[in-house]
Amino acid sequence: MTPSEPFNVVITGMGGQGVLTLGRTVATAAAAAGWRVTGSEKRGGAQRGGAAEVVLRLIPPGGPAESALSPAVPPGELDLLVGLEPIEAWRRVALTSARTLVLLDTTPVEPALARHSGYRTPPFEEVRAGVASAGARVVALDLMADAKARWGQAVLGNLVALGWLAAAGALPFGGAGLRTAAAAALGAKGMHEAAWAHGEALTAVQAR
Amino acid sequence: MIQAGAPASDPLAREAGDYLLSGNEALARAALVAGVGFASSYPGSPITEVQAAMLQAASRYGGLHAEWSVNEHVALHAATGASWCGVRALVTMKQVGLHVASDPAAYLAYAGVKGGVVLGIGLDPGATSSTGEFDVRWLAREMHWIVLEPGTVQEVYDFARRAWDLSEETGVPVMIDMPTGLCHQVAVVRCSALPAQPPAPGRFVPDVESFVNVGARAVKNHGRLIARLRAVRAKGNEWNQVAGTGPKALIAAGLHASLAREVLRTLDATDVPVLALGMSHPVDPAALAALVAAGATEALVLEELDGYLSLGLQAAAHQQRLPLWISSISGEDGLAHGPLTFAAARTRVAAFLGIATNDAMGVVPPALPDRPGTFCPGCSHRSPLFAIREALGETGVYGGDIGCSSLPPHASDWLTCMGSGLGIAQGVALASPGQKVIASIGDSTFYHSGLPVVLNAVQNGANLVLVVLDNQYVAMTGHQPTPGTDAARGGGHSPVPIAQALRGLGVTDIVDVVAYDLARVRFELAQAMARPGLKVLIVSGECRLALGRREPERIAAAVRYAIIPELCGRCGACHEELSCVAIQDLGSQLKIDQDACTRCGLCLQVCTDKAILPFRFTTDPERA
Repeated sequence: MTPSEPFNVVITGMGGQGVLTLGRTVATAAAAAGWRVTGSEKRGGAQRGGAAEVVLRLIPPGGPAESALSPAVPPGELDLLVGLEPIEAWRRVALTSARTLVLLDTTPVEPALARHSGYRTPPFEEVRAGVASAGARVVALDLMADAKARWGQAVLGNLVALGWLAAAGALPFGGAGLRTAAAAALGAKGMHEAAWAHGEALTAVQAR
Repeated sequence: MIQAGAPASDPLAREAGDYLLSGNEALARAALVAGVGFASSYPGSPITEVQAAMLQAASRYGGLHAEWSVNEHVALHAATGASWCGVRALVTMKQVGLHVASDPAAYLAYAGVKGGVVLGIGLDPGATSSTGEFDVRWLAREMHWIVLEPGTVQEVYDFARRAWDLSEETGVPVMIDMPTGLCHQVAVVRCSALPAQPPAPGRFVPDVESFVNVGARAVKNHGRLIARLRAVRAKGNEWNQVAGTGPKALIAAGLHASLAREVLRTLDATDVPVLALGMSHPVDPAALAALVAAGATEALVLEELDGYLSLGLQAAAHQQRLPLWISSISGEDGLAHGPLTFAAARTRVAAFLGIATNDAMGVVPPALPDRPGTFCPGCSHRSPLFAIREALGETGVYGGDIGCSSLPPHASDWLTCMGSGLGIAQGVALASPGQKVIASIGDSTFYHSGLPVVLNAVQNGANLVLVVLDNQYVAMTGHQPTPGTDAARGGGHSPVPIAQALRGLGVTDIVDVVAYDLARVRFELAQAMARPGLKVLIVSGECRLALGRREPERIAAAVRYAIIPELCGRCGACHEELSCVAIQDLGSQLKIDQDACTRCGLCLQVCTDKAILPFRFTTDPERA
């Protein structure tokens, strides 16, 4: 990626995991940092156990016009992939390459109707290998299940992810804006300090 | 260029500013800025959120009438009435809605608008949330509507801002093409302030020559419409853009214009001329002449589906005797299905331009199972559909209809358009008297298009059972009210109960049953099948998602259920046949996910081993 190219983000998972809120938070933080934002939100059927996805194309100052960017990320040009559900991230492997950082939850969730097809949900390590097969760097963290165990709400795994993204410098416009945007998106009550701090702390674990 | 600074998050705020908006929100915002006073719609993915925003605006600011109409036909007629009073109108619907509203649409163009009329139409290439991927822009040609093609969220706002002026200046209604990818696109959009004054009420002024569109007057109005369209066509340069020079060009409209530009960037061919059509009907031949002036002798049209764009462009080039050979990415006959992907577009454009590419366009993942939406835990449709399939056996016929009840895995024998369940079933019952026939219809579809279908079944003596699945909302699209929804659940103040409507249509055999009593549903269904004539079973249960939001404490306090592993023989009734997603297969045993379960109790009723027990303890017996 040269400085004038868009920074391409895909956030994917299941309805109810907070995919759209996470996407709007990143978009708001990017815009607040002076970047232009375009992208798309897939929400069809999401509240009924379907997949949800946000695509963001974050354009630095001096970058191309929005009208020169397709709504889809060209294959291989993805910079950041957040998989709140890892099988959904695997579906997007064609967009990844050596330039991609993947933040991957560690709990594959069986698709609701796979029980009728005889499909067996693969173990996480198989999913992880699939996600990494185009050369992306994969960071695997227990986001949703751990948040459920710690605070009783799996959806707080989003804030863990945001805290990690901010502290790890995974976004090119700095992490401070993410925290402000998250607080604005979730409200003071929804902003769970412990979850955010836990995400920040996980970057230290990764570094070792 | 958008200035640095956090975008405003409230898409309906009065102030001018930079807002983070979806395409749907941008259309609503533009309508408010343009002073729209009448907004009507029938909900349908992907465009439902436009009217949701208009309803919010109506309650915040007043002076605007916004309604969920009973169907698209009525929605467009009502907007026609507003227009003929001089009030600006916005109508939104999904693509198949225009099939329903095609009569009012055709007459509005002949008779002409007074207050501008803009129709936001949600196209769905790939049928991601539809039973078809129809490109209804073809209808715009037959009906002589103007079609605008924004390609970015900013363009949705900018084009729509001018669309009501265009409609009033020309007298022609305007359609805005809003495919799924644009409805759900998000971007920071520069917006004007809302008008300080609410839209003023209008006044109907008779115009017999225009509005009484019959006989010779209809022919005259047709001629007037053609003249109006020619005037619109001459102003195409206000909407279309040509950039670049060279012998081979690309042509695209809307979202595909940005696709074309990005494909050219990845091929390092950014000089290639691109014609971005902001108005796809009528086609302005001057845009093609501009391509020729840019040196083009050949052009490839990037489009989806059935060559709507390329056929019009080919005709225009031929009529103007332009030395420009136009072909379509949809193939030699311009016919294609499914969405146009980036990879496919890039491969075809590279071949067209003679650029060699050796990229494999990414690693292809293995075949992973889809994750479609399905019935929610506690869905009130689960018991009737379970009972219907059981009652029909191998030889019975089940006609399903649009809505949540169409979700997998409860497949009916057909699923096409609104009203098709009973509509087709009555033909089947008459044509194949030896088979048992059951049709179902959701409550919203019942009001939308079921009423005349029921009347027809009564009048023709259809011998079948109709199951009305009443969850009290248009649940599929986000719980909009139906004409049967009561005020406590967000409906109008004079709800029309389904049974009352049925009696008015002449149905005499009507049975009400509660969805969560499976034995009763089974019994009443069997009884009804044994009686002659048209029998209607109304199976009621408020959508569990909506109930959970409205009264979460009620579900939280309800009796819980657990599977006792020692008793469970894995018969499959709850996990496979009922297919409740709250019941999880842990490999060695089945378990009810207490977070997902909404305590409907249906699993207990189907369990053949008596392995599911209700409990009120605070401790989960599965963990004890």
